Amino acid sequence: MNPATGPVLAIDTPLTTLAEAEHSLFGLGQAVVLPADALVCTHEVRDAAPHYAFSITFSGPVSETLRARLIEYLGDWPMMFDAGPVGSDVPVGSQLAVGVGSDLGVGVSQALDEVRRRAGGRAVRFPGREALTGSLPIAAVLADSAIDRMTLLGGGTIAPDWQLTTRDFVRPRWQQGDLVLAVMPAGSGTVAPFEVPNPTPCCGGH
Amino acid sequence: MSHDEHTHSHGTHSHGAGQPHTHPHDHVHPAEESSPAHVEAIDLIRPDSELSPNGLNRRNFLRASGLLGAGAAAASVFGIADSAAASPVESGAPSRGRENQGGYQWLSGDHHIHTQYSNDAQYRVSDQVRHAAQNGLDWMVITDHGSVAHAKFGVDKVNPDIKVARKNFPDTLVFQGLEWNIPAAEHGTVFVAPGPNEVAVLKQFENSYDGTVNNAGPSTPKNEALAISGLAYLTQAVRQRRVGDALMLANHPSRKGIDSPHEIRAWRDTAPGIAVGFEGAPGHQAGGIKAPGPAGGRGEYDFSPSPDSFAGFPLESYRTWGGFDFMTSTVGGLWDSLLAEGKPWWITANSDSHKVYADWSKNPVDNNADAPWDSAGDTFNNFGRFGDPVYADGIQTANADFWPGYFSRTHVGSTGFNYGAVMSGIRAGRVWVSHGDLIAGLDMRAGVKGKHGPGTALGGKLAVRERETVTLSIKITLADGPNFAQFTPKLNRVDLIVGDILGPNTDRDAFTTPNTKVVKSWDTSKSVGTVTLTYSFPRVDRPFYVRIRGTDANRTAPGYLGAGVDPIGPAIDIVGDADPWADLWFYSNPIFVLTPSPLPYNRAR
Repeated sequence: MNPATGPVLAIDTPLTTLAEAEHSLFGLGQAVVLPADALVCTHEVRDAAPHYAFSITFSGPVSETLRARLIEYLGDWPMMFDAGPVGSDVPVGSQLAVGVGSDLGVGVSQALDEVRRRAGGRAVRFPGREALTGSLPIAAVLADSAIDRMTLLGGGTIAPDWQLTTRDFVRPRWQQGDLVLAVMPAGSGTVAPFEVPNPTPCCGGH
Repeated sequence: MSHDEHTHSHGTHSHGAGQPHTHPHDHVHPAEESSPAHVEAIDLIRPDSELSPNGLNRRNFLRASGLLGAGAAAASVFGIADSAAASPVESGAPSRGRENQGGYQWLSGDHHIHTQYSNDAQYRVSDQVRHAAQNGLDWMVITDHGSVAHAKFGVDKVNPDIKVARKNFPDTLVFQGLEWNIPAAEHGTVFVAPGPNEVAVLKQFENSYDGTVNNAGPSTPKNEALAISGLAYLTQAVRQRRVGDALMLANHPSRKGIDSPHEIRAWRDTAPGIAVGFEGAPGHQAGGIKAPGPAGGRGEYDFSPSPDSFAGFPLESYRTWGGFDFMTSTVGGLWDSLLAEGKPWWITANSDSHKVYADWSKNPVDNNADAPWDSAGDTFNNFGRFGDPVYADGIQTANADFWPGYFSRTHVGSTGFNYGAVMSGIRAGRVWVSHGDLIAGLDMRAGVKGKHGPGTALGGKLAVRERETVTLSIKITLADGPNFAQFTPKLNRVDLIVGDILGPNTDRDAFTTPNTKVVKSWDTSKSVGTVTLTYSFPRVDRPFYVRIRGTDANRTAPGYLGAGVDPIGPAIDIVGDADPWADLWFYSNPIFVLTPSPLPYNRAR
């Protein structure tokens, strides 16, 4: 399954924690019906005020209706449509800035750049994601989702007949052109995603 | 360098210090300590301006003789190196009969412990001290979280509790400290020598420099600068004798990827002798015990990169390896990159005890900081602490911590049983750390072959002349009884790690160093009693450091930087299935061996 390569909507946000970013994108998914093959990513913006940016990559033209719904949901966060090589209602290569300009805007260009080069971005929503629940054979995960490959942290190699324990939370990242899921050992013949769904709440009010 | 080495173990007896050996081997005769002036003179990390008159004379003599590299002291550190070493608290209390090895009392302790004065914890000070004492800890630091309520109330109110504990548990030194939310970074232990101003200094520090109190959490240059100001404040407080001593140690440094290498270097260089190290192993060691345990990350290391994290850190750094932080567990990693600069930076191991695994008590208001815990309406936020823990009506298997001294220990080679001596020992790096009481004692010395004397101990600097042969002597007292899981742990392997000292690194964000690796592994599985290992560095021609680690060898894997650097290192810990008792390690701090030759980085730049 291939992820979308068409127009990209890049959005900067004032959100500083992963929980806030996940929550916002969950809400977007509830409020706006995105095409099934849309790819939604978070991007870490490490500037003078560290925060998150988002990107939504579409496979084809984005209708006026959908665009209006997205702008309505995302409010006044700085964002930009970048038309992709796949046909769209915006001429190839042209960009359309919407939202209110602010000093958070650096995230727009970073998100756009990372997702266009497939060099960065953490996919929250991607083709085949809905089926990644429970425990699945790794070969099936690679065949039926947009995930291109897995890397095993801590050394060693993964056999195709191993199982992925998904914890119902799978967040691959773009890395050198591939959508890569980092996994860790999770018992004999089993791996689990590096990222856990519910990290320890931070102590000390920090 | 070629090396020769041998292993032998003795029976169940152990050698007393200075007892002559009778084995037919080429034995270690530890060198006399080099003269302080000579050590200073060839310690090229220290600029001329920091030397004593004798040290400077010696350096000038060596320079004139062509025996010292031209780059000597080109690198400058600023600050107050070792100015706090002489603590007025050090004299006074009598020495007691602690385990005496190599001329030091090895006092085990824990500098990272929470109580009901932390918003996410529950125990009385007396609960923590009582358990620490029962578990054989000699010293401990109460480190409640910096917070608005702690700065306003807790930092004052905890002090009487600590003073009562000092009186009730005379065999345990109880320091007051706090867990600093380091602006722009992780948490760190800050603690001071007991005295009339201990609360005042901590309180002013917390109010002015805590990241939470001052809303300075995000990783920004401005917040990084606030952290530096905080360390400068502590330095001044010691200089002005407001407190007898102060130390800062960074806690769980890799947990969230937000202690960037340049921040750690900045802390070290701003406050040498005050900011002295980090946790080699974090607390929360029960965090990975499988369900119905907490089933999370060992050390509660279960985070991932964020906008505040250092972009260069790999995903592997967000998990523990054999229970230890990636910065320490990676041979040739961040810790080694600091040691390769020739500057002191030490590791510790602590409990971070908040809520103990399989305990039967709980916080009376489930840590709701605004919920009254008594009829007067007192809450954590308006009173500065929670009420006492209450019976939980069931065993608490989701808790991730151990009692102080139960699993993690920081062993400090101390010149006496008193507060000042413990702080001086930590500052000197005379420290090794262990999990599950894997070994009972460690005395590691470096000396010049053929010279007599005790040799240079952990954390020390041995100055040698070009082409002298250095001998390393490692004496390990194996565990001779059960740990707190009621089994006697088995030390199956010891690894010797050696790295070149390259001098100050201009890349402040470096977190690897090229010339550090495991050079020797000893199989100690057949050993009983005391194990003596020796290793020789013939005709040394450049400065280097040595450190060791040992393990039960139950879980091993090639190191992160490859099998050529670390063929059988610790394995990454599995989230949700990490039994800490089945994966035990000890780590030593380093000994530096200094030669008069120029440092490679100085030569190159």
